[in-house]
Amino acid sequence: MRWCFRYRKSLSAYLDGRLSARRCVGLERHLAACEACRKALDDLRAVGPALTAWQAPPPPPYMVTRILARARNRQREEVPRRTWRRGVFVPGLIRRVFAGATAALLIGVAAGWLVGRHWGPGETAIPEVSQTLEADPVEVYSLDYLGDAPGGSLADCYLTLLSEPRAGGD
Amino acid sequence: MLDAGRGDLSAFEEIVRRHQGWAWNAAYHFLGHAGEAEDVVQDAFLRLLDAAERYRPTASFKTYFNRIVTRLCVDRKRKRQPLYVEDIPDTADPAPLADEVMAKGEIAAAVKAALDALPAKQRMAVVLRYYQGLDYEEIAAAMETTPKAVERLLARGREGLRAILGANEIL
Repeated sequence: MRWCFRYRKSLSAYLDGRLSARRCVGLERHLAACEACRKALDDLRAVGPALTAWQAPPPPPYMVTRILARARNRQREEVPRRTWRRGVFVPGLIRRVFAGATAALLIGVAAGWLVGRHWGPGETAIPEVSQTLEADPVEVYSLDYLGDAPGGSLADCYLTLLSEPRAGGD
Repeated sequence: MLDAGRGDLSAFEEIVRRHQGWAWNAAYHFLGHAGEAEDVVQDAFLRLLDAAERYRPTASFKTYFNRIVTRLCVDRKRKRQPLYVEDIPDTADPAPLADEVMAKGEIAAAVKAALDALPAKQRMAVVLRYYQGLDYEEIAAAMETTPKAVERLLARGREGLRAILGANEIL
């Protein structure tokens, strides 16, 4: 009885001839002595014939037609999915991505060349900060209408604030 | 298969006609529903067509296709609503007699219900063993597992069926 649990696990493999010879001998010895396990084996054997009592009906009559119709539609909608180049297989999607990346790289290089050519060495599109700070605020901001303001006036203060403090003053 | 991969639809048609029977058989026994089985078979053949250009004849075609059918069946089962024995499809069944034939006989209905009660992998192992006649190695290849795992799945599946069918006095 205590071996039943152990041998029951082997019954399925025994039915399919998957047990080693040594294990078969041990199981058959147990089956000879154990009615419960013999019954379990008979029940397992009966599963097969019971299953075959449920048979599938024939396939639907137009299933093949429907499959082929879908296949044809798919083929019509598909763009060519592969090209062969020098015997190297390049899937269509990878080829398109590669072409796009190459085009982007070329455009980037060309744009960089044009930008570099326009400004040249030493020229920048944006003036340096120090040049901006050194610009005369009066000229830059057209503040000459304060030119006749007396010294120490508000206009002087404003202009002083605008300009960068320099060594030795203005 | 190689011709189908080059876009030869007549070659593909030959493949469909040659293998539709057992693909339908496996899908029907696994899913228990004619409409769903047909969907799975259609999808399986179209996937086969998609993969045709990458196919290399290193393994048996049937094993390769079995794998596709098995995967689709298990996925379908996972997503499916519970199956009722008196299931009435919303759309007209193109083969109305199929469900009628299937429903005949208490044993057939009990077997169907018993199979449906099994977990998906056990059910698939039982279907491939009993309805497709595959051996352990072929089942393992179709289910992408090992023969030892198939042995365990079959053992548990058989035990489950024995319990259910025994309770219904079928065995």
